[in-house]
Amino acid sequence: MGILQNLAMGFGIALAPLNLFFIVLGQLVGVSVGILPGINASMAVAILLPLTFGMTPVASLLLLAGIYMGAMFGGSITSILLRVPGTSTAAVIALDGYEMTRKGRAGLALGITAIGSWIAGTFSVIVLMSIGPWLSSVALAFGPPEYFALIFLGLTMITSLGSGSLVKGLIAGAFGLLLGTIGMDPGAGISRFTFGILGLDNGISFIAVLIGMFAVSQSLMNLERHFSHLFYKGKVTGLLPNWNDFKESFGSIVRGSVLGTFIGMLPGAGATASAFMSYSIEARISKHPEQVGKGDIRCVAGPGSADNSAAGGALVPLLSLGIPGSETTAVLLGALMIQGIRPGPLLFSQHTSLVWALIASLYLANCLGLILATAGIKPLTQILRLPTPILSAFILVMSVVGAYSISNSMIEVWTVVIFGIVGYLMKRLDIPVAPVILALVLGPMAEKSFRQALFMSDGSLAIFFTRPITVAMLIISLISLFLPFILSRFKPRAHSRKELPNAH
Amino acid sequence: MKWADRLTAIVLLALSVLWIQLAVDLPFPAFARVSKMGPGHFPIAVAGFMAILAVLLLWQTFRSEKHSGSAEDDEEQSRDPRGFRHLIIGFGFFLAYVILVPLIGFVLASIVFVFCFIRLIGQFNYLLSGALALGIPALLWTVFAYLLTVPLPKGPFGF
Repeated sequence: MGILQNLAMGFGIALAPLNLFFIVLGQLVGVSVGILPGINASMAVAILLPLTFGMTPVASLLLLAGIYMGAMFGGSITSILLRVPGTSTAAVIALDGYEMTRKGRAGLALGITAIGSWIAGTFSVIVLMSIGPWLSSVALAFGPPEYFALIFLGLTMITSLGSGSLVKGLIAGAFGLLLGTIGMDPGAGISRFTFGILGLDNGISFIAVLIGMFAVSQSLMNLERHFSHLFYKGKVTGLLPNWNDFKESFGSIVRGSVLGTFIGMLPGAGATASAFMSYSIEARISKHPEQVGKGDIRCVAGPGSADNSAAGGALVPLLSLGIPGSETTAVLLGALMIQGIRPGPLLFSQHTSLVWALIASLYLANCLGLILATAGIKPLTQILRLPTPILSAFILVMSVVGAYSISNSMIEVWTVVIFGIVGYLMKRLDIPVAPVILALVLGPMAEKSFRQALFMSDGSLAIFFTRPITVAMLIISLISLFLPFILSRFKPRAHSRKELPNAH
Repeated sequence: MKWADRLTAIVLLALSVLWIQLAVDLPFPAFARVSKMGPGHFPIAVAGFMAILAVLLLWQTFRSEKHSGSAEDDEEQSRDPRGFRHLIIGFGFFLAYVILVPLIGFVLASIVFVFCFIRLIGQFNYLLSGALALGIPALLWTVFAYLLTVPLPKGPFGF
């Protein structure tokens, strides 16, 4: 009964008026961010992070989680109505979603996405609360060697599953690790690679790097692009599917939910990958293959559910092990660290109320998404009228104030500027940005546990090869490094990425 | 893209060499003898790995002579022809803004930055640019300086 009691307590906290306000606010910001081209959830969360300094841990986490969940749904709204995916995750939804709109079934496409997201989100939260506490209790028995192997596993999966080029993914990871070595070393407190800059003794500010790489670099990218301001002029009616539509898509929703949750749990794979996989599964098993790509409701319901459950699944390794598996969870980890909370196996036992309030808030965010979808789609799409230059000016000023408020100094502001440029160059060079952030967080943790392990063994490396769990995780890490090579041989060639609309 | 990748590889290689150089000179504290691992070992391992990756990237640029350019072409098409000019002007403004903040204060610098940015890049009229130039800094000042009590940099006029 422990779980139900904890859940009741979580709802008690999440439903407190102020907390509920932050969930609603987060959801609204998230949906807006998802709709607006050129802005994604990580960017929104990065520039809003400094605002959470003054909040309670619960309130800040609820706000950020609301943004995170809302953005998933917001992205699919413009995908379906305008074939302009607000997020990369939603690109695949545009394929059949927009076709449905052209056939006058826009309402149904949106409705089934909302219902699918709700079912999927709820499913992933149930999985999170059933295996999270168990996983964290297993991880509590971990010593430094196991912990090192776990972080190593996270690092290899993040860098190898991420993008197209394996070398570039690994370069991004290694770059993050290098950045992580700046500042005092975790063993002896000797200052390293600070180049005489006093403010760097505590390491490069994670939040400043985040703001630079996500907010500033993306604003620079947006300057170069021309956004065609499309508006949806048709009517959105018939949001609620009838029994036949629901029956037709229920199987896809369930498949998408299960797939998304478990893919989401793997570090690095995330929401986009699960939406793509769900689409190809639905396309393959479809009884009417001629309808695929021409407005098949199952090809909308499946990916629309998978991305939401992946968002929930990604919270499993974050909350139970303290390992972020996606860029958004890395940002949430940053939010926890700002509040002085060390994520890790102890989170479930030491911050019980926080974790369960978060879980309850995810339930509430899912329900809110459904309400928003049925009531507010038309007004929401009006957000698209906001001109990009105004938005960019706002984001850049907010980045500067936010960075300054980290430690009331200009060093963080300059960090933001430098990493804005670095992030921009990386995006132009097709080097993924997310692994840098993850490695910057995980690197110091990896070094610390590695050195602790060597203290245990008097400096013998054998400690990493004699403990079964450690060996198993290290072997899985190596497999995950080579997995992209193996997967690329089985890649479905049916629909190439070229058919997909460009995500903004 | 090939020359850009080559340049990246060379910069990364230089960065790794610098890191190894600096790490070798780090002291080795007495108590670290138990674990036989000092503050320099982890950075050396990471920088060494980075160097290998840089060489791999360099090797790839020479190996794949016919680089498939489809993805880049798509991206080029969606790019605004005025894009690069916008980027340079926009970034120039941003850089000037960051330099100005400690000199003339957050409020003044932000007003100037938002006005120039919106007027020149967004091509909005003076009225709207002016209104936003006052509105955006006012909003952010209220949130950060007033509500969160962040001591934002002040200019010669005391704000």
